[in-house]
Amino acid sequence: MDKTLIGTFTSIGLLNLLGILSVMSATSDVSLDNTVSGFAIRQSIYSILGFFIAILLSRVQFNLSLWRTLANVSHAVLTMLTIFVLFSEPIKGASRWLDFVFFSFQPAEFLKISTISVLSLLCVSQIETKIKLFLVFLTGILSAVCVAFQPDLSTSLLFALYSWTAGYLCSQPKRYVFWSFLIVLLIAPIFWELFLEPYQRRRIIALLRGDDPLGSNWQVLQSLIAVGSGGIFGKGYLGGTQSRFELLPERHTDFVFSVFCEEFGFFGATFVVSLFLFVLFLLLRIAMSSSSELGKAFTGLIVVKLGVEIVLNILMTLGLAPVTGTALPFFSYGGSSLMSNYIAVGLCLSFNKKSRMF
Amino acid sequence: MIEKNLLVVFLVFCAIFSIILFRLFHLQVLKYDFFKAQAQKNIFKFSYTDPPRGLIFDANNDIIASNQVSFCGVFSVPYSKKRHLMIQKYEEIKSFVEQELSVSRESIQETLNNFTLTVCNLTPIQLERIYRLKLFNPNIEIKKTYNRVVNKPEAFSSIIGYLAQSQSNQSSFAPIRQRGVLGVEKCYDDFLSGVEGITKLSINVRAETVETITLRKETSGLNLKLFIRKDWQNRAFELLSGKAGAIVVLEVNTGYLRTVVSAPSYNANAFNNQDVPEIRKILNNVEKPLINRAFQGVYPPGSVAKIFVALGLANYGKKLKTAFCPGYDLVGKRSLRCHKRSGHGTMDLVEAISQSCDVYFYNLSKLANYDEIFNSLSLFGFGKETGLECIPQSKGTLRPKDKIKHSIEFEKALISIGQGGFSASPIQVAVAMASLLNGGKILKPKLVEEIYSDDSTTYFNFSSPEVMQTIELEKQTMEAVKEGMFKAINSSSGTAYSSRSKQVLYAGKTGTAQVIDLKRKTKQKIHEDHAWFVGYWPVENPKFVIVVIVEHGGSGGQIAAPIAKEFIEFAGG
Repeated sequence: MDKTLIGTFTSIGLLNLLGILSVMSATSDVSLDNTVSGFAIRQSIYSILGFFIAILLSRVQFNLSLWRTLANVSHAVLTMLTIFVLFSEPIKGASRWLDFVFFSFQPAEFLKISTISVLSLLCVSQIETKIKLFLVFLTGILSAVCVAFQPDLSTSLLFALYSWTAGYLCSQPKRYVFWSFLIVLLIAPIFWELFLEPYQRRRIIALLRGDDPLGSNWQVLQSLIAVGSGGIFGKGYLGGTQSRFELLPERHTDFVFSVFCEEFGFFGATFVVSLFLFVLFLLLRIAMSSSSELGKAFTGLIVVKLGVEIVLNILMTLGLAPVTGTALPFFSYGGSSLMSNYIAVGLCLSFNKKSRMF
Repeated sequence: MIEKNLLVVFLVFCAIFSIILFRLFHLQVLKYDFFKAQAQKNIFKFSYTDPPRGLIFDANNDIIASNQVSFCGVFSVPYSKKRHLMIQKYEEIKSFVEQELSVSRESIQETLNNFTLTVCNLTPIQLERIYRLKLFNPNIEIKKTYNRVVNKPEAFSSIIGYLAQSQSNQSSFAPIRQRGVLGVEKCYDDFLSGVEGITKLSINVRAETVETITLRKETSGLNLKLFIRKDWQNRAFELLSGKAGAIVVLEVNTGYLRTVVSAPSYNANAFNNQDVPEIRKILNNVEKPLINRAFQGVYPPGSVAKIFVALGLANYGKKLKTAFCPGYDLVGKRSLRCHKRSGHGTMDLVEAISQSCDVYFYNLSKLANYDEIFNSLSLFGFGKETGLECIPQSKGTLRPKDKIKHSIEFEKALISIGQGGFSASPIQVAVAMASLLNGGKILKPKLVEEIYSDDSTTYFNFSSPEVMQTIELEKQTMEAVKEGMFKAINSSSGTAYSSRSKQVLYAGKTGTAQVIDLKRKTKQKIHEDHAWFVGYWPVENPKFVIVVIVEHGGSGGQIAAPIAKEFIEFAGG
């Protein structure tokens, strides 16, 4: 079996396992001494399911037409579902979840993958660069608009970023970067005024000034206390007071990394951060060595997707990025995010040229 | 093309990941101590449990002071970094509590330093109300405390004293507790107060308690057994009702204080229960009920002093066989009267004591110099503290020679009849009197017999007598004085013959101290004398000394002696 394949699955599996442990710790009830919560059990089930889906997908041999069909169909379906979700009952002020009988899922998480598949298709298509870029942005903006109404501004920005990266990957970097920089500079003030809610502006300002602990930045402060009080070796598993006494907000989803840092300290945190970087490196190697242009574009975009999510989430828990609802891949609780990421990694691995050898 | 661009992307990620690692190092290694402290502060809260205060018993193990369970509602302001918001909220809660529980603003105990409001002595209805509020508000607590209850408070307050709220000095965030501020409650507070229990509470972000760890269990205070006899104390207080003064009963051979009453008295429970209007009344009372007259009251001893002058001077060999009393005597250039204007005739020491002849003592004082008189009285403990532990007391006045501004001769004569610059407290007189009956031992008066815990372990036992000083007493004079004191009561010429008792034979000496005082209300001068009586019983083998003083009562024979008689008949009959 191929080393890249084994390395990727081992790393992701390990991250996933540590994630489950952290979710378990974050959701255990201190007063009942009940350490296994429903969250941990569900997360475990999704993990096993996702892991096998990824293994299956890694063995599928895609040709361009199959990819095109699957990508277009799934993207169309998911776009419709995303629009459909807008009319569902809001949870915590946002309509993001689609309820099925047994489970609810977030189509937006899967829409990310389908959007990236379509973007990678456009990227390798034989059309003129300007039209190509136009189509790339159209696709991105379409998805972004769909989720923007949930409302989920951070995810729509991510879609914009995917489009930008797709454009970057298949164009002349220097000119592209120059022009996009100019455009962002022009758009930013308008965006600040028109699209940002007051609470979002407050969060950004709080981040820049680093004050107001009981206001918008309170979550971040508690997260910093959790991380900082972990010290070098951590407080030990299930020993984190910040999470167990419910001081940390969203501790099994967005702030799960703080829980981990508190309990496993600087060593544990360094290990996990390195492992994430290692996964990105392995995926990037697949992109580099892949024989197909499509594989290169898709895997590259997935690297960017995973990388940006990892970086945004960790920087948020460390108080260096604004608080957005970005989950930490393979770590945070959430079936949709976990499944979509396993699918993404599985698809990437299917482009590994040595994968077909077994 | 794509490869090259991907490489750039990866390098960007590498850069960001190294920022992450630096940040982790910064937070977890460099600023670890800071965040550790923050995390501790986040989750722990301390809760304190009041222990029951030690009980106070009398000599017969009858209870004097006990405790009553009371419930308090504690309202705390949720923490905020902005202090002015907390103060604003504090005021809101105060008004809310006032309305909700319909209590007066005065009965709300405020502690602004840790932002809590406490309402105690809750009625069942108020308690129920708070319990309901508490269900929705984690910042409300119900606390069990103990209220000090003194039985028959008026009779006992002057020695037991009272409690008041005071911050425990252990930590500024510790709750307010009742500490003794007067009398035995203050004196033995360290033993009585017990140790408060401390519970460490782990709290979550909604201030709900998720875990409690008992760091220290509360221990109830140690109990006190006093030498005071409750029945005697009550009787003595009854006898003083409507008067201002004091009664002290001391055991002759041991120094045990069996009765200490001061009148007018106050209700210590008013202080213990924070009954503000009642407290105000006590504090504003012009009669000063908070002063324990038995220990702190100083009065010229009047003729009572004659006993000690005669005995003291006999030690210097200064004795006077007889003196003739024409009703006055010339001291220097001035004529000093005897209280009997027609004169007593020829007097020896026995008669001079029994009939309280002043002229005999004017003449006796002429035999001695001032220092001899001063030392004689000083030997008996006048002008000094009695040694009674930590109860506030006055030393009285006995001035050395160089402090006397007018004629020494004159002052000598006045001191010898217990006037002039000489004054003493009832307890001093009792101790001095006891020394005469126990062979010259000046004993340390004792209030507390034993300090013991609930499981009857004795921590301290103070029952062994302590002798402060021993005086050589001239036997002949001592016998004469005793005979004089016996005759004062039991001979028809004695000053207290009308107070003789058919039931109990006792001896004593009256005293009438002339005073000029200002009436506190009207600022009029009062010339009414202080009435003294010092006595002992049984006559053979004396066991108890009694001292009675009635402020501005009139003559000792008419006012103080009958009180003593009533008491001795009650106690010794």
